[in-house]
Amino acid sequence: MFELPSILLADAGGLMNLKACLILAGAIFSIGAWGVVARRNVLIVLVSLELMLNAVNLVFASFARMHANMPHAAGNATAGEDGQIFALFIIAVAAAEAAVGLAIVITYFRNKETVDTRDMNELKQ
Amino acid sequence: MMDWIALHSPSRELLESRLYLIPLFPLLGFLLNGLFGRHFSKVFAGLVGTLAALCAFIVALQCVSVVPNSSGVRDALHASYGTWIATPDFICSFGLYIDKLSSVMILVVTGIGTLIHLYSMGYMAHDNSVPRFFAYLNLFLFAMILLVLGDNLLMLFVGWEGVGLCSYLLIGFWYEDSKNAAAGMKAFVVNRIGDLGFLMGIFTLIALFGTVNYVSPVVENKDGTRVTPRTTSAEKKVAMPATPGLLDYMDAIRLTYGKEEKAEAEHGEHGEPSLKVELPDDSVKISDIKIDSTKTLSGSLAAGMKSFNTAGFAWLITFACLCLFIGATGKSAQIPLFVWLPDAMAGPTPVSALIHAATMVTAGIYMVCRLHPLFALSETALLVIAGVGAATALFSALIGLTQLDIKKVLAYSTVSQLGYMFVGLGAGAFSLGIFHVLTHAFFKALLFLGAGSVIHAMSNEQDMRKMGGLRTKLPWTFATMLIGAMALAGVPGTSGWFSKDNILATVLGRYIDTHNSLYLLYYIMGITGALCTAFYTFRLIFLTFFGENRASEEVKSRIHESPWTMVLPLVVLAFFSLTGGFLFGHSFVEEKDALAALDIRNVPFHAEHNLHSAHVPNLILTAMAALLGIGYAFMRYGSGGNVPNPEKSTNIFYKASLNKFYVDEIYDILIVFPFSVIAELLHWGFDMILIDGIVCGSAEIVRNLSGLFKRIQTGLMNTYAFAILTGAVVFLIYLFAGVK
Amino acid sequence: MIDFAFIVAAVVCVLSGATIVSRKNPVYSVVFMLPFFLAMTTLFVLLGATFLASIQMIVYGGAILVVFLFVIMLINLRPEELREDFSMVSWFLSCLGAGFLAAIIALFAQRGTTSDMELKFASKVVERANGSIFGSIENLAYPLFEKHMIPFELASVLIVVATLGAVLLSKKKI
Repeated sequence: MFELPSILLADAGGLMNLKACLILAGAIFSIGAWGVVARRNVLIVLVSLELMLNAVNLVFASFARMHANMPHAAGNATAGEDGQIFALFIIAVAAAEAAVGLAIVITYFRNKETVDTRDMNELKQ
Repeated sequence: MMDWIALHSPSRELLESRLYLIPLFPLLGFLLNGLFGRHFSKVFAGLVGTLAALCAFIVALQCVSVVPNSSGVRDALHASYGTWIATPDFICSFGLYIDKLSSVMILVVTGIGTLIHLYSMGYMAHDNSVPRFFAYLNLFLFAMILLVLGDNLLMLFVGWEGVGLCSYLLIGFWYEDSKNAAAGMKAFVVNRIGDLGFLMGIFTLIALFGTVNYVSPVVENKDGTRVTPRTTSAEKKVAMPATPGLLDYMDAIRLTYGKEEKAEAEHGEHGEPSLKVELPDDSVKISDIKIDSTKTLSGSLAAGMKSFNTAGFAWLITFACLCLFIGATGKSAQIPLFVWLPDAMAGPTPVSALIHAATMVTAGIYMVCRLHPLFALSETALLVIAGVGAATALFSALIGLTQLDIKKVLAYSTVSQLGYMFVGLGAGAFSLGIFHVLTHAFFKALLFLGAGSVIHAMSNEQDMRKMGGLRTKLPWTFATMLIGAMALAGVPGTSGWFSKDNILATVLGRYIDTHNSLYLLYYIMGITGALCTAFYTFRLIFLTFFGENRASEEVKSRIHESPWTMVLPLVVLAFFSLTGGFLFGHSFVEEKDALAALDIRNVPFHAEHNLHSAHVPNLILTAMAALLGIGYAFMRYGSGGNVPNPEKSTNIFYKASLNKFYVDEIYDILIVFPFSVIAELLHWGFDMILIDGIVCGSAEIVRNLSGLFKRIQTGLMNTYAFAILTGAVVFLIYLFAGVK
Repeated sequence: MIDFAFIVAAVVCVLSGATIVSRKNPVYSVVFMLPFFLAMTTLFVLLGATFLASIQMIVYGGAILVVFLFVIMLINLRPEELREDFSMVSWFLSCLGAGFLAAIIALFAQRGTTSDMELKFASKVVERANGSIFGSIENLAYPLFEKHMIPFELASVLIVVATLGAVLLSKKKI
């Protein structure tokens, strides 16, 4: 099926390793978290959430790859695929979350004419 | 008639299985009238209540008929319904128990109760809440039956509190008048003081003996007969049943220490009476006593016997007796707790007759008699009981001399007669105390019901100054009340004379026996009280029934004889007041088996061997007292013109007596006022400042703190997300720090 | 070459991510999600998760992104409503985010001494028992429909519920 093109594999360097992937995922997650916490526009908050979920997906995929590379995976037909399946579930949940979240945003905007999280303080009242 | 019932009565086992019916009927009556009374007519509610009492009486009569005829093996009906409380140190059964003592009480309670229910149907006919009245009366009967038939002290206490509750409810029956409600409250509070003593007595007994049962539970013999095992002695060894009751312990102590065993051996049946139970000197531990039990002694008694030397043990017995007696003074209205009973006359007159004359107030006497072997162990306690009884008998008779309210006179006479009963108990004549309970129940219920009939006729007028000349208009009431008054005054031949004369003779005999001058003092007080009793009783009769009628014309025109429902109980009670002494006296008075007849288990002493020497002078004195009192009353009031007029009187003693010797005022100053002051101080100093300070202060602190912390709750989504994130970061740092 | 592809993808990810969260107008944010998702897909391919990559492209790029765009157009915010003050709090939060990032990096750096962390993802996947290919559709399908069947079905239920919920919520009157 799918193999990386040989041109990519030709000069297989050491830069892309687990650590690099995790640090990248951490960076994306942090950016998303900052967006969730600091932004006032609820749409951007939702988008930032997607960023965070993607970062987690990246972590799952990285560790799945790691497991596939382990010596114990040799006798196992599908070693490491569990991580990818988890990432699939996350995508499904993200889709559901985006649908519901956006529906709430629309309804809220229709009622209150605002998407500013600072106006959404009904919990306090 | 008793023989006929005995002949045709079912087997004891059957009767025992029917015992529960006695309290069940009044309970059913209470539930019916209490729950569905709204839908009942007055007559129907009265019928339900009366029939409940009558059914209980019939079952009780059937059960009791077996008791006096039973042989030595079985002398009581004992139905056990299991164990109420069972701990290693403390046993309390749950059952009903009729021996000769409780058979007298149960017949008084249900018999006179039935008559008074019947009377109430007439008396309360014009009241608006008849079902409520009969519900209370039936509940009272239920509680009183529990009190009398319970086979342990705790059930007695439950009944004791139950009758107290019903007394409270019925005194305040016409609660629209705040005076009546206050009288009920007073009765309740004063009784609480006594109940505290009673409870402490029960606790002491539990600590000492580890049981509150009177007797051992019934066991089945191999041949199928059922027997209540008792403590026996043979060959200098005392054997106790497996689970002994209080009376078994008393028997064991008596058999171990009692002098009279030796005396009996020397003198045969006419053993030398001995009031003292001689205990070994202090160096001997009670644990040294040889008491064989089919099992070992119950834990706490063994421990108690080991830890107290004999003197201490005897002291504890006295303590328990005095505590129990405090309870009795509350319920039976003795000095110093008698003040509630005159006020209790605020209730309807049938209630005064049933609860506050015939049955409930005798609960204290019943309790002392029930535990008489215990009281017999303590000479001090008996002296105190006799002293308090004699003082009450005289004191309240003195107050009764001048009262103007017809019911108040009878109330003080009740207190006085209860005093005589305690004198009898204190002198060791327990059976005579119960005998006086019986006769007093007849004639005092009669007098109260008669007074109720008079009050009924006089349109609820209770002041004797406004009565007079009623003997022609209320012939039945007059005739029956005259009989009751004669019995109360102690005219020889009437039932009251039989019991009171015997009690006083016992006191005199005790004096001759022991040369304890206290008994002579008690005797003199008793005779003086009897003189006063005769005077005030006939003062009541003369003021009410003789002379001219002093009521207003309007009231006069409405005077009428009561309906048959009220007259019939009067007649029945009058019959027993007149003949009760002849009918029942022998089983209480006859020297040899006076106590045995009541199945008051053999007391270490019974005495009365000097009764004969005391009888003749006493007979003369009591007869003289009665006739003198009646004669003086006739002199003063017989003509009918000499109506008491408190305003004109200058006699200090008269005023003091009229005002009850200011007992209530003295109590107000000595007890109620200091208590109010202390309560007020506690209210302000303790409750308002300390307790409220703590409670409100803690609330204030919480409010302020929450004011501080509620700022965290911004209601903004970002803040919460931030909090979650911070938590995640902290956790990560922790993880990071943890992994080296 | 693989390192080069990784670096490009990583840089695009971080830059577009930063742009997404920092734009005032959400339209720009959503537009910059496209390069972000593309870079993400690249990373998945490089990690051998080829099926995941295609799903990422379809779901995120094709569905979620479009939904966001629709919503923004539906809401049609006026510019004055897009006020955004990066106050002290925001700066503090930025510092916190940076601290978070630093904590993660430090954590991995700490653990980075093990050989696993140095694992070169470019190296060939070890031989499988039956010669199957890592990350292929078959390899994902077997565990998905056998081992994880119940979560898979639950996920479908979740999506149905979410769809219904979104429809109900968006109705004019609730």
